[in-house]
Amino acid sequence: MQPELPLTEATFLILLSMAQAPMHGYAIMQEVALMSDGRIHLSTGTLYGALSRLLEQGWIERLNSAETTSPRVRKEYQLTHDGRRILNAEVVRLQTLLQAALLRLAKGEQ
Amino acid sequence: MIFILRLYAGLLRLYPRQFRDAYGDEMLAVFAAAVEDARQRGCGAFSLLIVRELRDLPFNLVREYLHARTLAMPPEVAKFRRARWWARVFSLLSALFFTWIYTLLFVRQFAPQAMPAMILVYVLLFCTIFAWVQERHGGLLLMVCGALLGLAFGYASLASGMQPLHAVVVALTYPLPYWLFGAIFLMLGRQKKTFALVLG
Repeated sequence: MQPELPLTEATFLILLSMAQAPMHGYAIMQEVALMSDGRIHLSTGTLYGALSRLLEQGWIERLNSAETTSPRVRKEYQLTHDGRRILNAEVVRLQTLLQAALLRLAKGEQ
Repeated sequence: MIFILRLYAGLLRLYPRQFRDAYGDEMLAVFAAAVEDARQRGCGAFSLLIVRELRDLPFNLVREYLHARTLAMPPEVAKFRRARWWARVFSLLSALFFTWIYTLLFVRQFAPQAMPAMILVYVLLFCTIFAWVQERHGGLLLMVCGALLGLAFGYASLASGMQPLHAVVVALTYPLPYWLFGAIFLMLGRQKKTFALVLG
């Protein structure tokens, strides 16, 4: 068991939102809301507080976006090798929990 | 729209400088995008967005200021400060809880023999607050006054006709939370001495 685990739901969803491709702040907020089925809506302060911790831990890195369609600052974040490793470990942990729960429930119904 | 963004930019100034410099512009850009999106979805979505931002702001500010302080110090000092902060919060909550409970009991079942114990409960509340500033002396006072509280409650129990053994149990269990926090503050006071140079 890794000492960093379990992750909070918000941290897990933030990391998961970057699993496929680098994301900028607003896209992360939207992805988190979508993945949590509208349960978790991050405020900008909460999101950037979490991103700042993840950057310090070296789980994500900040990219300077090449796109210039918007005059606004638009930086993207992507998972690092460590971040992906942690995310995978959390998914395995959740999967183990889920399997154990399903097994117990199935035995209970028999 | 411009007013809301100006207001948000103003609120961003409340964050620690380091955090603001690193993420302030991005946060404003993300907030602007969120406002635009919410406005298109209607008044409800827009209001929810504003409420969410305002609701989370105090927590985010406290967290970032605490984090900014811990970043500037060695990890062991940061750990000590965190432990001290938790000790302060829990000791105060515990003292307030027991003061409230004992006061309630005292008011409902008035017994003159419990008056010294009641006075000591309030003295202990002040000792807890004193221990926030002076860990060693406050911790010591908490332990001594806790012992006196035990004696006072033991005496009150005996005077109200309780069995001596029961009174001894009361005398030993009632001061336990105060002894616990007293011991924690004493330990923190000893550690504080070690970090005195760093803490200033």
